[in-house]
Amino acid sequence: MMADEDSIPKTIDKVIDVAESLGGHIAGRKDQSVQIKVPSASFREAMTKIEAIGGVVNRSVTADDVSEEFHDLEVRLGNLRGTRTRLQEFLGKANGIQDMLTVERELERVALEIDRIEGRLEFLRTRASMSVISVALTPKPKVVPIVVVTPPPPPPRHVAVDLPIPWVGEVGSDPLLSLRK
Amino acid sequence: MYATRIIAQIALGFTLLVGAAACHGARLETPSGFATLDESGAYSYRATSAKGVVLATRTEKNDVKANTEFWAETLDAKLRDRGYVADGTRSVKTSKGLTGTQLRYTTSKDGREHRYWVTVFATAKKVFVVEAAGDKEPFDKALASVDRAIASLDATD
Repeated sequence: MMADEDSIPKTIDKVIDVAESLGGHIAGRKDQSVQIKVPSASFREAMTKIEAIGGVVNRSVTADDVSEEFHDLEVRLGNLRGTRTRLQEFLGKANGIQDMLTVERELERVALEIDRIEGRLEFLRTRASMSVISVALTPKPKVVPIVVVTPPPPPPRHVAVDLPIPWVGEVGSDPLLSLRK
Repeated sequence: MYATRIIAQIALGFTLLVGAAACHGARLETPSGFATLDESGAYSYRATSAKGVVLATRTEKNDVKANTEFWAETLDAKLRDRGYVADGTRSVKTSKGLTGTQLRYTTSKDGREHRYWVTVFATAKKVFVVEAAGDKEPFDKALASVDRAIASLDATD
């Protein structure tokens, strides 16, 4: 977007207002840029409202397809949960401390992996539900007034009657100082 | 009878001689340190100092029967129009009682400042113009001589 240098903070505030009016929020702000998150369902409306603020020079929309990663993580999560169930069953049947310690270490590893995958899945769900809009503002170049310098008017002529008397025009220092005939 | 004719011819010749003398035009008393130039052109008198301060007179017919003020204003407008910078105007009276107007200017010649004074006297039949010019420094040194020369104007109508 382009905005007058003085009005950039106000323009950023308007963009944030757009996010909040659509159930979104600010994700980051700098002197001349702002990042907002809006619900994905309101993405188009958000873009329209931001464009209405004015000064949009260009826009770029990108989308990341996370469905494949999401699916893989769900499969792995299911497997890890199954592993955890079986390990818990082994733990109940373990004979001796050494076996118990081994199974518990494995249970701990599996639990950590489950937590990691659940966290990643939650992140992907949130990301899919919210769209991120980054707005960068560029100060409008200041209009420099073109000053047309007009030369000063010539000094007023001293209007003299144009007498049909030649000697009047001959009076002057040049012929006087020219001593040679 | 013959003698009378001779006397008449002598009287006529004398009259013509006096008339010719009266038409010599306006002249000045040449100041000390100035040399009088033999003039036969536009000037009825011209003299110069060794340092180039020049004095001259013009004697012109007052065909339009105008007074001194008219001629002074006409010359002033012409000179200003040609770039002369006015230094002032003053009234001048010659030793013979003729009153004129003196216009003083500064002008530039070859990158040097020059003084140029033109003093005009108008009578019923003639316009007498006294001009003085020169490089600023020698002119200023000769001011008293220039003033005296202008006041010495000898002009007959």
